[in-house]
Amino acid sequence: MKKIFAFLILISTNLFGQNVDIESYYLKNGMKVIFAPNKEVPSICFRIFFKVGGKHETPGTTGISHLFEHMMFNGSAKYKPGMFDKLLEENGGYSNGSTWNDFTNYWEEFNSDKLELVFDLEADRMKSLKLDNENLEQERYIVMEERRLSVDNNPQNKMEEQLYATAFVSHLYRQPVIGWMEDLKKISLEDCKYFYKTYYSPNNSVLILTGDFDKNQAKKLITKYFEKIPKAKIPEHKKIIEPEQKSEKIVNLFQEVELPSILIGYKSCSINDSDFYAMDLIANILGYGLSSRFKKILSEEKKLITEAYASQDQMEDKGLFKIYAQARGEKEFNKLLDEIDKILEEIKLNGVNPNELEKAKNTKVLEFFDAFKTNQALSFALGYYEILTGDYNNLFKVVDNYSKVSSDDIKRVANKYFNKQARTIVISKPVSDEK
Amino acid sequence: MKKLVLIILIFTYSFSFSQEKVELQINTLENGLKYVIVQNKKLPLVQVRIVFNGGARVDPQNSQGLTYLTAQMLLKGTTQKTAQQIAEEFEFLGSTIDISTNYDYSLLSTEFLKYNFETGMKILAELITSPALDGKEIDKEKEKLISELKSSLENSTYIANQFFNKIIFEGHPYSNAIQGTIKQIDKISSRQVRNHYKNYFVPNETILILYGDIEKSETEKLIKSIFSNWQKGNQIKLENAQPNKIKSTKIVLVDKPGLTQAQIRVGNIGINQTNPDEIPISIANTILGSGFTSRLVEEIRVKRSLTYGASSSFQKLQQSGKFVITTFTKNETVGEVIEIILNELQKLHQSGVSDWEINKAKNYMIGDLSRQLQSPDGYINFLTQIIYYNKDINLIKNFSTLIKNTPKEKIQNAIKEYFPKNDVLILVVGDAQKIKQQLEKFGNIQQLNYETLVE
Repeated sequence: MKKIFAFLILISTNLFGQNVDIESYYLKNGMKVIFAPNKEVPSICFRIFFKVGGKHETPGTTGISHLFEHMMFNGSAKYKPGMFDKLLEENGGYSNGSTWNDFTNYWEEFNSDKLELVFDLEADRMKSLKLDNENLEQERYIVMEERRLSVDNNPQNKMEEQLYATAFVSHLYRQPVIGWMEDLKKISLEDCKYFYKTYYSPNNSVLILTGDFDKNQAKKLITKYFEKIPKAKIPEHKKIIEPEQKSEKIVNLFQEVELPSILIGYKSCSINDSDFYAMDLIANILGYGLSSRFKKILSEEKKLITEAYASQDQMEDKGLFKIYAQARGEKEFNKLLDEIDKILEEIKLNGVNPNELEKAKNTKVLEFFDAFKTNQALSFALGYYEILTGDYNNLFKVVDNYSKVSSDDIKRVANKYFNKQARTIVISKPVSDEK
Repeated sequence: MKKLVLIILIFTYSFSFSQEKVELQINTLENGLKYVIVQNKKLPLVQVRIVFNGGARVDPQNSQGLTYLTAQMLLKGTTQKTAQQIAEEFEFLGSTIDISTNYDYSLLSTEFLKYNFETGMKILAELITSPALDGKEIDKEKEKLISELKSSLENSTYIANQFFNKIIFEGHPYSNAIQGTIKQIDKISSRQVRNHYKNYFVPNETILILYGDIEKSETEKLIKSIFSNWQKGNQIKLENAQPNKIKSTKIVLVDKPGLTQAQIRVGNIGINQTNPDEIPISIANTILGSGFTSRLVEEIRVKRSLTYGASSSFQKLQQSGKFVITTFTKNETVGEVIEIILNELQKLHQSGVSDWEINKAKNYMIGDLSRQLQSPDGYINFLTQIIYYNKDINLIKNFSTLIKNTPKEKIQNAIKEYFPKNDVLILVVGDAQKIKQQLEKFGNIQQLNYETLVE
């Protein structure tokens, strides 16, 4: 089966090397532009990334990147509040935005003949957003509802929030992207104005266009709408080196849950670290599919869990390797951490078997194609690699990077990162268990 | 006019198999298995959907969850291989299998790299045609399912959706709990599962849909070779019962102490999958509650900042369906949000919709559909609905024209006929102590405990 895998890599690389015509360039104001034209469907996805997210926020203003993302839809000099989405929807398009730890991004999908309209809408809000109290107050309360939905009344996400807040002492990955409720209440208009002026400038952004457009026409229009937006001085983002964690941390969270669960975070690597691919494959081997180790051992053999997953953070700086498992009851929960530890120890001692490794690599080949299914997916993947790794071309290297991981690499990274003193554990139990 | 031309192009591309180029054919094997093959070589992938007719509606009243459990057992080993052996063999290909059950059918979904298609299909055929249905494995699955039911009570969105369904379809099989209840699952015997498989997971009640980088003739040969030995079964008999509409305002409060935000559902019985007014209804619904510029979003989110999301939808099934408005808000503003929703329903009936709103909704729907059809997954899911519900295949080709040509009058009539006014079920999941008082002005409140959902 190994041969088949090698063959697949060759096919996929050739296929996309030849068929996906991608080019990039810079505007005079420093904005990077990436084009990936594709005439198959007469629609376009416009996406713009700003290099600002949760990790750039000063304490006391957590959540401002995300709150600001909401405010970007509420009117600019030329377009009144509400017009942004109305114009897009009445022309058959739609828009959205999302904020992460490392970046914020916005996208629109629309019919090919609306390219100029979208450039006008985007450029207008980038240079002259309506920043007033009305806009801020409207979105502040909406985001507070979003927080209630996605964190305060969601036990698993609450565990995640506690995990990062506890695991990191210095790096701002400890701050929730959605923001602490108390900070959300306090963010001021002045904070927003400073944020906009500082981070929403062309030299802090990447524009990506995928789909059915003419490159020459798009270039002319981008010059017309975006090149005149002045660049700004972006404050230097000091890279924070998280101090080494030397002892295990445990958080007990008593909340409205029916079953106890555990979330473990090991200090791990960045997406730019060569260890990343081996760690990501371990996550797959542990928790993905019916034949994964967690499913096989924790669910089928030991009957301890309802569900479990493992994941390696894909972040610009060093993130976490996470393991989550929900126990079937108190009795099962008491055995859970030991059993998870045994599974990790086994990998540290013996690595994984060749079939497991090949299976995980094959999964990654299939996943790779997800980026090419739609204009929207491709624009995200290109921007994501550009922002996090500094070069969108790295998207095309991932299959190769996974294929190079050996069983020895797996054993080596398992020993390097799965250290109890460098882990944080969040335990979630029903309120009734609190003594 | 340019827009219209472009939109039609989308369909010419996306549906290149349709009448204009290749006839979409539903073929049938001798054992009754229906299959559809659609080629698209854009990516070296093949999407697979296998639809088993039946669904949770065929569960006996005292054994709810039986179809779900039986469908899950397809992944638990065959007469030749253990669950682990077959999972390892299949997942080595890089693919995973998902089996879900809704009220009308169970659905197996997977995706293969084209080079693994044949190997993968052979494993799938083995899973489907000769599952082990071993007693010990069934007990293990039951145990897991019971834990999952307990765990589901942590999710207030899930609780709200399930209670809404249970109450709105009361007396009809669509009110069944898809995953059953703890007591009922516990009592299901291995024999029941085996019989259920024999009665419902039969080739003559199954449709196989394949989409992607495959050759038609080779694929047909493969299907014949791997599925021909599957024994034909009896035809599934379904009573065509209609659920009763809610006739006046009914208020149900599901108490879940500790929540700081309440889930709200407002609605009534809706339409089935083959309702001839589907398009005008969808246009009216888009105006009310679909997209970022709908009336509900405007009134609840944009103007008053009371929620992060508000939407309305017609969820259509074979025999019936439901219309439901979905939103959530902090405990203090539950009453206010419900009042806005009821006002919007009244307004829709009293003032209808404007030409501008109709135009916006039509364009949004056409754009939305074309985006859905761009992804292989979105495409095969849409195709699966068309084929299973025996809808007019021309709908695919003509969808944009049909939407564009729908006159205002039909949309206004659809509002009168299909959208509720006062006759709604208002269901709230939240901390009763904090929100009950706000609900009293809407009428008598029936209060339930959230745990009763899965007991």
